[in-house]
Formats: sequence, structure tokens, C-alpha cells
Amino acid sequence: MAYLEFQHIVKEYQTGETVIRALDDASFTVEKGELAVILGTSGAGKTTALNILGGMDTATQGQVIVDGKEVTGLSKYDLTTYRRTDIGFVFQFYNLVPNLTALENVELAAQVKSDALDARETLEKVGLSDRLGHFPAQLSGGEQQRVSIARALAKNPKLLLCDEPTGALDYVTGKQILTLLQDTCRNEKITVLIITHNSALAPMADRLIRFKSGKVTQITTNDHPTPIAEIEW
Amino acid sequence: MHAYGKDILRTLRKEKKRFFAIAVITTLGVMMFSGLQASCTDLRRSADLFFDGHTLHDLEIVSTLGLTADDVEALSALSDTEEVAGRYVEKVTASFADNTMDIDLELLYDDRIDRPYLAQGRMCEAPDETIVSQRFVRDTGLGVGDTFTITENTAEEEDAEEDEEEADFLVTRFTITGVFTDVRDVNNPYGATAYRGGMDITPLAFVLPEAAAPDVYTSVVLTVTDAKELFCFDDAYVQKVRTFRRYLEEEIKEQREEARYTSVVQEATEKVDEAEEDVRKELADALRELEEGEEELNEELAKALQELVDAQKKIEEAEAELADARRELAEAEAELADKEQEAADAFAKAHEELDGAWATLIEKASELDVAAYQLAEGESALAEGIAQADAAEAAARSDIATQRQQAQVLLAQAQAISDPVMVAMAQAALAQIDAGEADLNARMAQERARIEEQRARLSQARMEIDNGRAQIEEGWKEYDEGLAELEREEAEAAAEIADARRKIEDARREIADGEAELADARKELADGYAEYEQAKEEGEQELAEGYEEYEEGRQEAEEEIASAREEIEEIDMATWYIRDRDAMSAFNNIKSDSEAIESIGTVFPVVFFLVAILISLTAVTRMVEEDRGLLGTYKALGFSDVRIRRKYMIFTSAASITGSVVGSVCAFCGLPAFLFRIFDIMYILPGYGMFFLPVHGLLGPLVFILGIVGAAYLTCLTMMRETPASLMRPKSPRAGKRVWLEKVTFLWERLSFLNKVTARNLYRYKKRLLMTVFGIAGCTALLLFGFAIRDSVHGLMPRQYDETSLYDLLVVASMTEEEAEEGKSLHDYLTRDEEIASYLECHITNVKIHNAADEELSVQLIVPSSPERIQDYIVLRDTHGTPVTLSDGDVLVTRNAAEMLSFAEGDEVRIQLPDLQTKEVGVTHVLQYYLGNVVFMTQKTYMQWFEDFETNGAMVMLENEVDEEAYREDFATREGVLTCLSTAQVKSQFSQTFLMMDAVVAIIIGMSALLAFAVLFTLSTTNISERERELATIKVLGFYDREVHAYVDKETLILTMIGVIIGIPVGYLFSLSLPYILRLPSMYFAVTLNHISYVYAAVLSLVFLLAVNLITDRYLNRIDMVEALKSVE
Repeated sequence: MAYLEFQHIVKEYQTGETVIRALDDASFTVEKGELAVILGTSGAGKTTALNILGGMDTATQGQVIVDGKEVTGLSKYDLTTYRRTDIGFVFQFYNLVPNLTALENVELAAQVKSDALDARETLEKVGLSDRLGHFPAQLSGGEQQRVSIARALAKNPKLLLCDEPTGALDYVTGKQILTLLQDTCRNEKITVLIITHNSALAPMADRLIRFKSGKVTQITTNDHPTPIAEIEW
Repeated sequence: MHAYGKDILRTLRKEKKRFFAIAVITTLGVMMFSGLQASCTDLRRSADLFFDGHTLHDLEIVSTLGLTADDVEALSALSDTEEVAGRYVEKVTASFADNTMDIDLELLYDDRIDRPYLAQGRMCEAPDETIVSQRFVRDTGLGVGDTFTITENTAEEEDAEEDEEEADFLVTRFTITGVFTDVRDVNNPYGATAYRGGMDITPLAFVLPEAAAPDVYTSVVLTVTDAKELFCFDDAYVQKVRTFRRYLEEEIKEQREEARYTSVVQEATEKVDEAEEDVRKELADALRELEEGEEELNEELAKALQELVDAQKKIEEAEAELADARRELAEAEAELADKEQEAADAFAKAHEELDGAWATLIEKASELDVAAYQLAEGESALAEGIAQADAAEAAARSDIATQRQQAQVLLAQAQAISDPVMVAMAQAALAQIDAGEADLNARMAQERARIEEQRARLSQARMEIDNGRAQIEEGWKEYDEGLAELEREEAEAAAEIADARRKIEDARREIADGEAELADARKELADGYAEYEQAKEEGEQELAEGYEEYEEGRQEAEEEIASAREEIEEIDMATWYIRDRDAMSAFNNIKSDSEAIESIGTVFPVVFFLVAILISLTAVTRMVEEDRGLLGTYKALGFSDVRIRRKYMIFTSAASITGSVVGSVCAFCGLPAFLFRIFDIMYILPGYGMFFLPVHGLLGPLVFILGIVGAAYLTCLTMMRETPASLMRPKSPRAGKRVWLEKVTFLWERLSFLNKVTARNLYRYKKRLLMTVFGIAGCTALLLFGFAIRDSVHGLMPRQYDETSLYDLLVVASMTEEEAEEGKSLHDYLTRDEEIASYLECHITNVKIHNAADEELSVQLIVPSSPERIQDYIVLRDTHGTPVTLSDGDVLVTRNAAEMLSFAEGDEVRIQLPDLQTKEVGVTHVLQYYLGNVVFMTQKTYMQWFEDFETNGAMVMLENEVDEEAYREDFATREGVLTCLSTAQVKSQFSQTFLMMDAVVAIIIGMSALLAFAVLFTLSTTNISERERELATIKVLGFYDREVHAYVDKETLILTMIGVIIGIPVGYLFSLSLPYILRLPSMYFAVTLNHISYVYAAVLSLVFLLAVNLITDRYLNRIDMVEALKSVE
């Protein structure tokens, strides 16, 4: 059994009379320590998949199993616990708490996990050792995203889920962030899932999952993923 | 445009929470802004309508000398009076079943002014029918169809003149046909106002004027022209009435007083004149009677004297007669003696003669015997001579016999005439004859003897002897006859003498009788004189007494007349007392009640209003800010500012107008409807109307609508200044900032991480902090204010009755003299009852005090019989708490009176007793006192200023174990006891008395609670919506629900606590203003705030917070992480 199993997931949204099927029997697996890239256009259902995977949303049908534990069918409370202990999120718009310093934002996450990593060290790892006391507003986008990643990492999660992490960043910064994510995956042995619509990123993935209209259209594994630095787009 | 319209509709739907919040806050604000005002306006307007509908008098005129039809006429003639009517009311005792009660019986003179409102039954139509007030029904327990009898209390009146003024009710038994509401007394007798007037108002009954015929009116009531059109609680009305009153006082009063005085004096003078005339006539009559009596007496005495004199004369006559009689008697006696002597002499002679005859006879017989013997001897010898001698002898003898016969006849005759001389003569003649015969005999015998010498002589002798013998026989016969004759004569004479003697005896007896009679007469006379003297003396004395009496009577009458005249002199000039509606307790109560609510209703809504408007502004601003991106989009699409803005304008208008409408409905209907129920307990107005207050009703909504819509407009305006692009970019999150607390390192480090977060958040959202703190502080302050009213109201009791009035009972009695004599006087009750520990007798009465501006207030006057003991019953302290002693010359007035009439220690006030005695006095101390108003002075002080001091009441301390209430009930029903108030009873009734206050407090607390709720709700939801991303983030980070709740609620809690901490002192400050806000007559509103009330205010705010949190927590739970984090709008 794979570390992460996403099996026959159907997600339907009821909007008035019409039912929109965001995910239509989507299935994929990711192995532990892999960096998976989910690729698809807007509305392909990749974010929905990520949300279900991250315990932020529930599936209409199907099964999600993470590290042998079934996530689908968990109660709201257990889902929260799941998010709390097993998942680290990195958002397109960072979603830092504006009223907290970089360190505090990381600490905020660390607060809720018992085996959390040291916030300061985590921030150092993402290269922000000199920006600990800065508020988000005082940081650049890349720096904010680093804080965001540090915040996710500090919880020492089983899965690091990144939703368009570079969507709001410029090319160079985006590259740096992706590098950070790739390095993290390699060095920390954390399973990382990155959602992007940028197919150029495909080569960096250990496993590439393509989404189209709510279906998984292609899963390819890449035994020799290209380092980010070598990818141009 | 169509799409734009849809957007607006959808916004409304989506933002219904916000819409609702704005609407509710507007509702509350508008409601508070107008509600209390509207309620009291409704009360006043309803009262005004009722008053106007039943033509409540504007002024009532009472005069010390009563008022007359002339006064009514004079007042009617004024152009400024509309209706004028006399009023006659008399206090009588009503008896029914086993009870008696003092009631006011009023004649229903005029059905236009002060027309009673019939609540039940029908009007009285016959003189023995009556309609009674609701208070009457309450106090007597009688109802329609019941009857009662009345007795007039004229005996209590001291003044005879007043007695005359009292009309006798011609009917004394009345049947109740209806129950009315007295337009002058709309206090609900069953309700809360019972305590306020100080003492109970007497129950009233109306009867038809035919039931009595009074000479004067007790008062005259009138309405001022066009005053009805004015609102009687308005200044305009007060001004109009005051102007007319002043006119009355300046132009009419004196003239009418003069007229009344003159007429009373004239009447009295006439009466006295008449009386004097009567008295004088009576006196004259009496004098004439006396004089006549004297005359009569004199006449009678004279007559009596005359009679006496006559009697005396008669006695004298009788005496003379008697003397005559006595003389006659003596004469008769002498005569009789003479006659007796004569008779005795005659008879002695006759006897002598007879004896002589007898001796002669004897001699003759012996001679004869001798002769016979000689004859016998001579016979033999004397033979022939005898016959011759006999014949000669016979002839001689016959001759002698004839002579004798003649002599005897003569003698007989003589004897017949009792002529002793003649008798003697006759007898002499007889003797002569006898001698002649003897001579003859001798000569014959000699002759015979010669002739016949012997024979003749012998026969003669024989014959002579025989003749002699015959003669002797004859002589014997004669002798016997003579003797018989003599004896007869003697007998006759003796009879005659006896007769005469008897006659004399009779006369003597007669004389004796006469003398006895005379003696009687004399005695009678003496008695008569004595009687006369006595009668004279008595008559004179009587007369003297009569004169004396007359003199006394005259003097008395003079004196009486003089004193009557003096009394007339002493009649004081009539004084008019003109009272306006403020003199009516119900009117005053409505006025002060509504003013009290109004003053609360002014202060309270301002705070409320401020909080409400700020909160709604926050909500609106936030709403517009949330739509930032949308605004940018519209702008980018080329919508004009006006059109973009219109959506928010419409939204906020709709919300605030909805709120205003609902709020107005609540303010002008809901709240009044609630308060009407309270008013109903206090007043017996037949109905309440709801009135719109244009100023309040428009201003409140206007301010809210303008404020909220304006806020939306301004927020839009600020936003419109930005370019569409910048708008569509997410508003850069507000920068985090280090807070000063971080500089307090030791403290900061001690805070848990999340607390640090909280602290920083609090500083970050300063606007929210201010809003929440301000809102909660305001609400807490208002809550505390509400509690302060409640506490103060309920604290008055202990302050008054535990700390100030220490007595258990306050008794007022009215004893008739008979009752007092029967041992039913108050004093007897007090000394007799074992339940009483101690008591202090006082003079207790209701007086009015007037200040310099002539405002009046009804207060109680207590004059203790021993002022040094009063501290045991009432603690006298001045307003600073310093003990005050009651000494002679002191006038102590309670604080509320001083404040109501705005005077201070040292000021002069006018005190007016119920009998209208008035005195200007200086106030020496103002006392701390809470319930009711009292004036204290000593007996000496009282008597120096007023007349008629009598103790009619007492403050009583009961023994500890006595059941105060049971004893009070017993005491109150005793004969002569007017009122008996126990502090326990007053305490127990007090909560009801303050029903209205409690209701207002409930409204305040309820509204404050709602506002607090609305504030917290709005701010919380705003807070949540503002920080939705942040909250979604921490949810994603795996914060459990309760951690998320705590994350938010902790902030709200802290803000609320800060609000409470600030609100409580602010509320305390509000509370301090209470005595100035609530200036109720007869109640000094000392502020009491129980410790627990602070807790209540704080806890209530926190409870609302918890309740709000429960709701907002559900919103927190509903935050959709996916939606919130998907993108930045």
C-alpha cells in the first residue's frame, strides 16, 4: 500500500438545481518521501483534491488513506486533529497572521503540535534567520512564503501540501521557493504535494499527476527529477 | 442596471445578519430615544384629554368666609372664565353594616365642570341616590345597590356661626347607583399612589343638590377661557392659568373678599340688631311685667290692710256690744235680785199673813171650840136666842162675805198686777172685813142675845159656832187656797226668776261666747297682720328679685350683644385662596411621574443613542470595506460613483428605516402599551391614547438614518478616491506592531504565546477596542444606573424606617368629647395597651407650605408634646448627618420639601394649616429625610403662631414580641382612630408604590441588556468577518474549534471586561445624578447602590458576552477554510 492513497474520489457541489462534479472518480497514489506535482488547468479539480487530501474538505465518495489511516469518514474533530498533526499547508497567498512576527507565525503552528520542530531553527532552515522579528507586512512575498513554509514544516507534518506556492511570486523568488520545497522533500524526507498549473514544473516531480475536468488523466513517475535550478519557464 | 439591482437584492439576502444588526440597533436607539418620552406624553395627553373631556377645573377658589352665588356670578361675568360653578362638599360620617367612615359628600351642582366619569352603574337621579368614587368602594367595600346612612359632624364644629353655614342634609340615607372616577382624583385607590399623598384622601360621594340646601359654597371652581385647548402640562397652560390667576388676585380677589366680608358682617350685624331688638323688647316686657306686678302687689297689700282694719273695727264693735250686753246682764241681774228680793219679801209677807191667818184660824177654832163648849153649855140655856142670833148673823155674814169677796177680788187684782201695795191693801181690806165681820158677829150676838138672848144667842152662838166653824173651814179653805195660791205664785215667781236667771245665764254665756269669738277675731286679726306683713315682705322681696333678675338679664343681654358685635368686629377680612391644578394630588402625581420618567428618558437615551449610533457606524463601515474588491470591480467596469454608492445607501437606508419604523412602533406603541399597564395600576384614567411626538419621532430616526447612511456614504467616498486597481488589490493587511506591553519584558515573557497573540490583536484593532469598550462601558453604566434606581428606591425604606423613623406606628385620631369621656381617647388607648412600649403624643396634621414664589407643597406637621423625646422616635439630622435638636422657635423642614420649593435654612416659608391659618416662618434646619415631607416644631412655637393646639396623634413603639401588623389592624378600627400607619405595612406596600419605577428600571435594564447584546454581537461578527482569513488559517493549521473560539472570545472577553471596568464608575457617576434627575414630591431620592448591583451589572454584561459568544462561535465553526483561503478578494 502506498503512503498516500487517493482512491475513486468523487466530489460534488450542489448549487441550486445543478450538481457540479469537481472530482470524478479521481485516483492516485504517492509514496512516502516523494515530491508529487499535481498539474492541471484552472477548474481541473486539483485544489479540490488537495483540500480533501488536507482534511479541509470532505469527499462525496471514495477513500483517502494517508500512512495507513483512512482520512475520509473522519469526524470534524478528527479531521482537525489530522490537519494539526499530519498536514502542513503552504498557500498561494501565504496566509500569515499579519499581527504576528515571522517567528510567531511559525510558533503559532508549533503551538498545536507536541513534536513540533523548533520554530527558530525551522526559520533558519528556510533562510530567514535574520528576519525572525519582522511582521509579514515587513517581508517580501518570497520571504512571506518562506515563513509560510517554515510554519508548515515546524509541525513536522506527514504531508506538505502546497497550493500554487509560487502563484503570487516572481520568477526568481518562485524558483527559490520551489527549490526550498524540493530540498525540504529530499532532506527532511517529507512527502510534498505541489499543485500548479505551470506544466514547466513537471520535471521537478518524482511523480506527476495530471488532472483534467476532475479526472486524473495521467500519472507518471520520474526516477530522476530535474533540480529546479535547471528548469526554465 | 438590472444586474446591479440583483446585486443589491443579493447583498440584502447575503448580509441579512448585518442588515438585522443595523436594524435592531436602530430599533433600540429609536425606541429609547422616544419611547419613555412618548409614554409619559401619552400619560399626560390621555390625562389631559380626560381632564378636558370632563372639564377639570383650572382654578379652585376657597375663601375663609365661604363663597356665594354672587361670587359665582361675578366670576362668570369675567371674559376669561369659561365655566364657573360653586361646589359644596361636607365631611360626614357614613354608616353601613357595622362600620362607620368619614366621607366627603359633595353636591352634584354642575354637570359641566369636574364632571364625574361614570365607571359603573348609572347616575344618581333621585335625592336619595348617590354615586361614589372608586376610593369609596375600596374603603367601604360597598358597591352599586348598597345603601349607607350619614350623620353630619356638626357637633365637632366649635363655632356657632359655622354651624349655621353647615347645611343639613335633608336626606340621610343614600343608595349607591353608580361608581365614578373623580376627574380630580385619578389616583388608583388600589394602586401605587396610596402612599404618596402623605395621608389618604377621603372617599367621595356625589348626591343631587336636592339632598341638601347649603347657604354658601365651600369653594368655587372655574375653567379659564381657551385653557382647555392648551395642553395642561405645558408651560403655555401654566402661563395662561397663572396670568388669569394673577388677574384674579390683583383685580377681583380683593373686591370679592370685601363684598363677602361686608355681606357677612352685614348679615351678622343685622342678625345681632334683630337679636338686640328682640332682647330689648323682651326686657321691656319683663320690666313692664315687673312694674305691673309691683302695682298689683301694692294694691293687694292695701286691700289686705283695709280688710284687716275692717276686721279690727268689727272687733271693736263687737267689744262694745259685748260691754253693753255685759252691762245689760248686770242690770238684769240686779233687777232679778231686786225682783227676787221683792218676791221673797212679798212671799214672806204672804206667808206671814197666811201664818197669821193660820194662827187666827187656829185661835178662832179654839175660840169656837170654847164657844161651842160655851154654846153647848149655853145651848141648853141659849135655846131661842140662837135661832135669832143665827138669822142676824147669817145676814151680817153674808154682808161680810160680799165685802170679803170684793176685797179678795181686789187682792186678786192686786196680785194679778203683782202690786204688792195693792195686795197689801187688799189684804188689809180683807182683814178689815174680817174685823168688821167679827164686830158684826159680836154686835149681832149681843143683839140676838138681846132678842133671843139666850136662844138666839145660843143658836146664834151655835150658828156662830157653826158659822165660825164653817168660817174656819172656809178659812182653812181660804188658807189652803191662799197657800196654794202663794205656793203657785212662789213657784211662778221661782219659775220666773229661774227663767230670768236662765236668761241671764244665757246672756252670760252669750257674752262668754262673744268674748271667745272676739278673742278669736282678735287673734285672727293678729294673724292677718302677721300674714300681711309677711306677704308684703315676700312680695317686695320677689319684686326685688324680679328686678334684680331683670337687671341681670339685661346686663347679660347687653354683654351678649356687645360680644356679638365684638365678634363681628373680629371677623377677619375674607381671604381667598386660589388653587390651581397642582393642588390636586393626582394631577401632581401624573405630572411628577411623567417628569420622572421623562428625566430618566432624557438622560438614558442619550448614552444609549451614542452607543447605538457608533456601533451601527462600525457595522456599516465594515460592510463597505468588505466589498472593497467589488467596489473596485464596479468602478473598473465604469459605474459611476453615485451608482456604486447607491447600493450601500439603499442597503443602509433599508436597514435603518426598517429599524426606525420598528423602533418607532415600539416607542410610540409598544413601550407605552407596556407602561399603560403600569399606569393602570397607578391611575384610573378611563383610557390611554397613543400620541406621536413629531420632534422625537422624526429626530431619532433621522439621526440614525442620516448617521448610518452617512457613514456608508463617507466610507464609500473614501474608498472611491482610490483607483479601481488599488481597490481590487487586497487591502494590504494592517501591519503588525509591537505593543508597549512587550517592553514590559518580565510580564510579556510570562504571557503564554496565545495570550501574547491576543494582546497584540487587541492593540491592533484599536477601533474595535474603542468601540467595544465604549459600548460595553455604556451598557454597563446604564445597567448600573438602572440598578441604582432600583436600589435607591428600595433603599429608601431602610433609610427612612430603620435609620430615621424609628417608631413602629404613627397614629392620628379624632375623638369626639363623648368618646373621650367614655375612656376611648387616644391617650387612654395608649396608656392602657400593654403592647405599647412607649409613645410620644403629638399634634399631627397636614399643612401646606408655600415658598416665596408661592409654589405650594403638602407636608405633614408634627408637633411633639415633649420635644426632647423626639429623638427616640425620629432621628433628626441635617443634610450633612449632624444631629439636630428641636428647640423652641425651631422650624425643621425635610430635605425634599426644601428642594421642591427651593428654599434653604434661614429662608422664610409660609405655613398654612387646614383651617387656613397662615404664618410666615423662618426655616431653621433642613432635615435629612426620605419619604414624605414633615415640618417639626415645638408646642410652644406652634402656640405662638397658631391657635388650637391639641394632641391628636402619637408615635408609638411597640414591645418587641408584638405582631405589628395585627396590632395595627386592631388599632386602626378602634373608634375615633383616623389613621394608623405601621412602618411594617408601609414597607410591605412600598414595592407596589414603586411599580412604575420598577417598570422603568426593568425597561432600562432590559434595553441596556439588548443594547449590550447588540453591541457585542455586531462587534463580534464584524471582528470575525474582518479576520475571516486569519481564522481560516488557524483552522487549517489544525486549531480545534474551541481553540479557535478561545482565540477570538478571549479578545472579546478582555474588551468586555475593560468595558465593564470603565462602565461601572461611569454608571456610578450617572447614579449620583439621580436625586437631581428624579425630583419627586415627598421623596428625597438618596442614592443607594448595593455592592451586589455592581456585580449584577458586571455579571450581566459578561453573561451577554457569553450568550453572544455562543452565537458567534457558531459563525466561527461555519467559516469555510476552503472559501476563505481560496483567493484574496
